[in-house]
Amino acid sequence: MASKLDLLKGTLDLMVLQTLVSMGPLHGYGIARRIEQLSGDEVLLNQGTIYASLVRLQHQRRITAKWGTSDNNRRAKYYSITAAGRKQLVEETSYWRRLSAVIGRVIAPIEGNTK
Amino acid sequence: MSPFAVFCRIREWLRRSEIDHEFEEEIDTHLELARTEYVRRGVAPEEARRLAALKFGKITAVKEAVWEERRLPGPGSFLQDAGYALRDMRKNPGFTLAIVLTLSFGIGLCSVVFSILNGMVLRPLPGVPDPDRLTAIETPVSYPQFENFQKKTGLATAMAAFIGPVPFHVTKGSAAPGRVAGHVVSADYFSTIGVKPLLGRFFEQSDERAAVVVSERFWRTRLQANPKAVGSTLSVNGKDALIIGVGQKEFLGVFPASPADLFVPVSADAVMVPELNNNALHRATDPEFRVLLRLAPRMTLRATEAALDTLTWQMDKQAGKPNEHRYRHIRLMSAGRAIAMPPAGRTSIEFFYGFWVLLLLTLTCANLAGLILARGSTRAREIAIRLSLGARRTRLIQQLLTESLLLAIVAGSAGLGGTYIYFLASAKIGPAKGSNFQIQLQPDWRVLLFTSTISVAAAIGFGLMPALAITRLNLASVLKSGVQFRLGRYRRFGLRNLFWCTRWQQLWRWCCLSASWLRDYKNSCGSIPALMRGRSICFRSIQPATVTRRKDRLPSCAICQRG
Repeated sequence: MASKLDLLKGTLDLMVLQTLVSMGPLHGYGIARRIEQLSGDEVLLNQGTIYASLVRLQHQRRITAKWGTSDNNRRAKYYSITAAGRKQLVEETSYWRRLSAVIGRVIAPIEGNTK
Repeated sequence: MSPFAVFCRIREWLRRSEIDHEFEEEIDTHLELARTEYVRRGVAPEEARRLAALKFGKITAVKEAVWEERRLPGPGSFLQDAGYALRDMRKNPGFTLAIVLTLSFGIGLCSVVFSILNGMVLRPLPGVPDPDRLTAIETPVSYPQFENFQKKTGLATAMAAFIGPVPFHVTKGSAAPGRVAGHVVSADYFSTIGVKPLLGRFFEQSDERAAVVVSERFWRTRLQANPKAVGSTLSVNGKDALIIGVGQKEFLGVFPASPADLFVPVSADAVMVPELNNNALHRATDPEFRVLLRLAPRMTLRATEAALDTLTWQMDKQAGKPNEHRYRHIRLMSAGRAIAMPPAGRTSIEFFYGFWVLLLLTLTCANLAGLILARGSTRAREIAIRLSLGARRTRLIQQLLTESLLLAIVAGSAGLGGTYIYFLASAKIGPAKGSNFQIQLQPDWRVLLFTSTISVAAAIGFGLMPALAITRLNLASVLKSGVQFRLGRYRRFGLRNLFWCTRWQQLWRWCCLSASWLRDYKNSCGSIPALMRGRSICFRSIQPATVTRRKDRLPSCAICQRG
C-alpha cells in the first residue's frame, strides 16, 4: 500500500459527527477506533488528534459531553451529537459529495489516459 | 469565533486546573481501553502498552492542540506569555536591564524629537477652533491695504491685522515696572483667532483709545490673578490704560513662539504705542501689519492667495502704479500652530523629523536584535526541547514577541518619563537670555500615542528577527551537543549578515550626517566650541561684521537661523 492519506482540513470533524450519528454516544477511544475501522487504516491519524476536534465541536455546540462508565469500569467521557450537529453533518456531507464528484469529473480524463 | 465559543473558553479557563485534570483522566482511560483491546487480541501486556501509546501519538502534542482550542481569545494568552516572560526576565536581570536601558534611550530620543515636531507644527494653538483654517500672510502689509482686503466680501470669513511682538513698559500701582511683549491689534483680532475671554471682554469695533487686554499668564503672574484686575488701570509706556479683559488660559497671541502678554488696540494713543506714530493707519507706504485670515468655506489656501494677488494688483492699478507688485505673489502660511509656515515647509519639516526618528529607531532595534540573537545561543536548548516536545513554532514566536513587547512597554514608559523630565528641566532653565523665543514642548497625548506606537514597532523590529531565527533550530544537533547553536538554514548568508550590513551602514550614515551638520555650524557660526557653549548660538554669535565678511556663506547662516 502507498503512504497513508493525509486528512483534509475539516474532514476529521465530519468523520466524528458521522460516527456519533451511526453509533450513538461514544467515548474518545470508541470514536477513534470506529474511524480507524471505517477508513480501513488508510488514514494517517494519531488517535489523540480527535480530542482537539472534540473540544472544537463542543465549542460549536455540535456535540455534548457527559461523564459515564466504560466497559472496563473506568470513568469515561461520552460524546453525543446535538440537533445543530446533525444539521451541520447534512450540510457538510452534501458539500463533500459535490466536491468529490467535481474532483472525480476533473481527474477522470487523466485516469483514462493512463490506462 | 462565535460568542458561545468565547464563553466556553472563558468558562474553561476559569476551571482550568479541573479541566486539565479531567483531560488527563480521559487520556488515561483511552490508553487503558486501547491496551485492553490489544491484550484481548493476544498481544503481550508490555507490548500492548507500547502499541497503545504509539497509536495515541505524542501526549504533549495532543495536549498542546487541545489547549490551543481552549486558549483564551486575545488577552488571555498574552497574560500567560507575559507571566512567563516576567519570570524569565527576573532570572536574567543584567540582560533585561541592558535591553531596557538601550531601548529607553532610543525611544526617549525619538519622543524628544517628536515632541519638538509636535510643539512646532502639530499641536494646534490652545483654544483655537478649526486651526487649519487660520492663516497669515507671509509678508507684512500696510494698514490701508489690509482695509482693502477686509472690504472685499467672500475672501475670508474673518480678517485681522496686528503688529508684534512690540515691547511695552508696564507699571501696575506701586509694583516694580517691567517689560512685556505685546501685539498691537485690530478689533477683529480675537474673533478671527476664535479665542474667548477668561474675564471681561475683548475689543469692540469702536474701542476707546486707552484700553488693553492682558494674557492669562500676565494676569496670573503680575496681577496676582486678582478678579478685580478687570476695570483697573495699568500704566503702559507711561500712559494709563484700562484693563478690559483677560485672555484665555495658555493663549499668548497668534505666534506663541514669540509670546505676547499685552494686547493694545490699533485705535490706541500714539503715545502709548510709538509704532502708530505718524498716522501709521493711513500710510500706504509702510508695510508693517501682519494679516490674519480665517479661510472662507470652500476656499483653499491657493485660491485665497490668488484672490489676494488679484486684489493687490487692482489696488495698485487704481493707485496708478500697476507694476508695483506685479511680480510679487502673496503667500499664506497656516497660523493655527506654534510656528506659522507655508504647507510645503510643514511637509518638509515633518519629513526631516520623520527621517531622524526612523533612523534612530532602526539603529536601536538593530543593536537590540543583535543582543537578543546573541543570547539566543544560550536559550537554544530550552527552545529545542520545547519544539521537540511538540510546541508549535508560531506559538513560540508569539511568546518570544510577547517578551519583546513587554520589554518595549517598560522601555517606552521609561523613555516617555525621560522625555517629560527633559522638557520640564529645559522649561525650568528657561529660554536663552535675551531671547523671547519659546514653544510649549511638554509631551501631550500625541507624544503618548507616538511613543506607544514606536514602542510596539520597536518590539516587532527587534523581536521578530531573532524569534524567527532561534525557532528555526537544527533540533538534533542542539539537543545532542547541549549548547551549540546553529542557525539552521541561515549559515552562509542570511538575515544575520544582512543585519550587520544594515548596522554598519546606519552607523556610517549617522557619522556622515553629524559631520556635515558640524561643518555647517562651523561655517556659519565660526567655531565648534561656540556651538557647545549653549543654545541659540547662531542668533548670538553672528556679529554684523562677521556676516558682512562672510557674505558668501550667508545661505548657510539663514538655514541655521530658521532651524
